[in-house]
This record gives sequence, C-alpha cells and structure tokens, in this order.
Amino acid sequence: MRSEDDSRVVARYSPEAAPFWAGLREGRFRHQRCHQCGEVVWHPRWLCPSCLSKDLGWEDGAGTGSIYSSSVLHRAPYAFWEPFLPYALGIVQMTEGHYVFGQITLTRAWAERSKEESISLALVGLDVAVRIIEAEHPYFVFDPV
Amino acid sequence: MKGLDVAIANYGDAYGTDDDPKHTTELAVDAFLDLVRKTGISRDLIGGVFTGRSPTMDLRPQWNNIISSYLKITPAYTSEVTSHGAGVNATLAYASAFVSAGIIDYALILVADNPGSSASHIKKTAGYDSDPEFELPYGPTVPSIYAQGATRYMHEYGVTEADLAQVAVDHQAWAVHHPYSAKGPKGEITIDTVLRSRMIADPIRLWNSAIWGPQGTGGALLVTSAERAADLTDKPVRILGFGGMNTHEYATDRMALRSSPHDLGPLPNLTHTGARHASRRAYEMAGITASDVGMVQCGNNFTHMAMIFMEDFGFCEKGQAPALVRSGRLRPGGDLPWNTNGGWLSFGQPGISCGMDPIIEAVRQLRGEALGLQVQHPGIALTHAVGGMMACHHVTLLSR
Repeated sequence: MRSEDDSRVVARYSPEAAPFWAGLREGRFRHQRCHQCGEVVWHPRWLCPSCLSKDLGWEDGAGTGSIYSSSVLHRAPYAFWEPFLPYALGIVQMTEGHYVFGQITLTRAWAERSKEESISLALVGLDVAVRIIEAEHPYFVFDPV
Repeated sequence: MKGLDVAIANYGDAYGTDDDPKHTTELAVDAFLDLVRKTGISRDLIGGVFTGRSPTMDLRPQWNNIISSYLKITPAYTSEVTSHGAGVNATLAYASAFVSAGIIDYALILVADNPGSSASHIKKTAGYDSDPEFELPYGPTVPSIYAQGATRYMHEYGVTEADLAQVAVDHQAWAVHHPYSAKGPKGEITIDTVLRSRMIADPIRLWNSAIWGPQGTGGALLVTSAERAADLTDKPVRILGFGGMNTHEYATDRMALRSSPHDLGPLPNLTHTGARHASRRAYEMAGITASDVGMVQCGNNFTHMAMIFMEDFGFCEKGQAPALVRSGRLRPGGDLPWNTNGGWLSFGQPGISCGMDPIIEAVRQLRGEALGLQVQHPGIALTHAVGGMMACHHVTLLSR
C-alpha cells in the first residue's frame, strides 16, 4: 500500500518566489538584487534583509559556485529517499555571493568512498554548476564541474 | 536589570521507563504533584504558568492553557515560550521578570514530553525545521542540517572526528551513573566506539548524536521571590541571571545574516551561535564572568555543538574546545562538570522536555539531590538549551 512517505515532499511555494520558479521553468537560475544597496537577496523576499528596501529586481545568475558545506546522508528522512542513499546535501556559495541549499550530485567514486569514510570535508571548496530538473515540480541539483 | 531577587523554590520531576512508558500528560501531572508535595503550594497562588512549545507527542497548540485547565489552575499570565526547544530555558526568564516586577508572586513552569518512536520523528522534525520551499524538498534530516555546521567547524578549525568522539565518551561517563539515562545501560565507551558507529549524516555518526529518549520526562519548577522561597524550602536555588538570542529560523537563512550588533563571529558563518550573546548577557546580569561558572548543563544535541558551545560560553577561544575536552575538566572528577546526567547525547532528548532536563539536573545537583553522580560544591551552574537549527539559545545561571 502506498503512503505519503513514498512521494517527495513538494515545495510550499511562496508568492515572492514565483519569479524564481517561473525562471527555472525557462532554464534560468535567478536571484533578487536590491536596487538600493546592491545586495544579492536569497531566499526570495519582499524586502532587502540588509537595507529594508522593497525595491528589488530579478536577474539571471551564472548558476555556478563552490561548495561551502556539505553532508552525505546515510539515513533517509522517509521512505521516498531510501533508494537514493547515500546522497549529499550542501550549501553552495554562488558566484554572485549568496548561499543556496541543495542536493550535490555524488559521482559513483564519491558515493563508494562515502560508505567507507567521512567525505563531507573533502567536498568543501569543490566547484559546482546548477542543473535544472524539468518536472511537474521542477527543481535543481548541483553537479561537480 | 541587576540584582534579581528570585529563586526556584523547588522542583518536581517524573520519568517514564521501558516497563512503564508514561504518556505526556501523566508525566506533567506527576511532575506537578511532586512539586506540590515538596512545596505545599496552593493552586490559588499561582499567577503565571509558562511551558515550552507543545509536546512533540501532543502537538496541540496552546498546551500551556490545556495543561493549566487540566490542573484547574487559572493563571493571570500564561504562555508557551517558543523559541523552539530553547523556549523551555527561557521560561525562567519570563517567570523571573514577572516575579521580579511584582506582577505575580508565584510562577509555575511545567514541561513534559515522551519521545515516542524515533521513526515518526525523523520526517516530522525535518518538516518543521527546514525551509519548506528551498530545503525540505531535497530530503534533509535534522542531523544533515546540523552536519553543515559540523563540516564547517571541522574545516575551519582543524577539528577531527576523534576530537568529536571524546565528547561522546565524556557524556557517556556521566550517563552510566544516572538511573534514567537512555544510553547509560550501554556502559562506558571509547573513541573507537564512536568512530566505528554508523554514519548518519556525514560527518555525524550515531554516537555523535543525541538519542530520542528516555521514555519521557516531566519537570515542574516553582519560581518566586527569594524571600517567599525561603518559607517553602531550606534549599532555594537562586536565579542569578539569564540571556537569550535567536539568530534565524532556517539554516540557509543564517547564511543570509550578514551583520549583527552582537558578537556572532565573522558573518556569515555556521560556527558561532547566539549562545555567545546569551551567555554574556547572563554573566552581566549575574555580575560574573565565564571563569566563575562551576557546572554546565548544556543542550548539546551533537558532539560538535558541545564544542561550539564551550567556545561560545567563553570557556576557551574559538577552535580550542578539543583541548578543553582533552584536559578532562568536563568529565567526572573535573572542575567544570559538563552535563552531569549525560546530557542530550547520552541521557537523551525526550521531545520538548529536553529543555527542562538540564534545569532539573542543575537544581538537583545544587540541592545535593543528584540521581546520578553528585558533584561536590558545584558553585554556579550554567543551564542552556538550543532550539531549531542552531538558531535559538537561552542561558540561565543558577546557584544556591
């Protein structure tokens, strides 16, 4: 019998992030920038967290960055994720300076090594690029480059 | 605010066991009755009731009012204090402020929870501790989010897996003496035990993690003026000072915190917590410094968090916690006993009452009524709880 644990949790979409998701469907990895202070804003917001201006605009990002932190999961949160173990989640410092959480693609070699020893620290600093996954609910992963 | 004149007149506590795992409400009832038996307090005198957030095994909002109604207490002021789990420690701040200001004479703090089955928690806790739009869909667990900080802490300061393992070893050395500790029955362990344990969320292994247990705890505290407390007990525990800081909700959002008027280290980072500011505020209120603290009951849910807190409380410089741990000061017989019931790592983390357990342990130790190893002359005890994803911190300083 199927249960809700057999499906991936779908994002709880917020209205201020709608332009990001619309962009993702067009193959663009976007972020906001504050027109007042120039700060890159992530997650999508109604106001700039730095200067409180509501004057924000959207721009396309390079979709590249480096791994700031990571963790390879060996225990899944619920049934859907078990076939994917081990999988890596991390925070990526994007080229534009903001930090994005997401899944980091493990090569077969990395995945095998992770079963023997800790690899999370070895992943720090690796260059990655966004790959957009087209689906009913599109999402993105970070691939090593 | 200087010269708090408030005290914990007494405490009540309750424990479930494998043979008799108690329901959350029964644990609350038993802890409350224990407090009433010890103090003789009339319900008519209780002007404030403060609880943590609703118990994990109950999850009805406004649990503070649910339990007050259950006990037929009619407080003028009552609230769930919810800076995630750290809110339980903050109940002492709220109670102290109300009593100190003369708004109420007696405040009841009451917290209980039962850990239930761990499987049901893994999805649930990740569900409300990760960003529902930009984190949750990627399959995080709570350990995997805390592991982001562990990776950074080890990367930035050269901390090793063996360093972290010693923290677990030390916690277990305390826990084996406590009759209700969840991991105590496993006996003492070695660094190898930790390093050989199953990887959960790299670099966090099973023995680097808190355990959901024991089979439920409940705690009740009666906060009143020092003068009134002296009429109720010969061993009041004074509340010397408190402090708190809540820096973010979701972990990724912590990386968007780019400036702060407070000392949170070079921002953004995942290696400095609000416990720095929380402890400094508490020290200032109490008129002490970190070196005056004689005992710590700290909410460290993972071994690296214990090290980060040692540094954030001011016991050593950032990155120097491994040396402090190796010194043996935190172990049984040391001069800075740390989590004398085994802490969240070894005593366990039974839902929201994990915020109360360190306070109960501190009060018991200060009164000379420890259930496990009794520390001689503990002096000033620092109690702490963390809530959310390294997010919320409250510190309360207690002494006889």
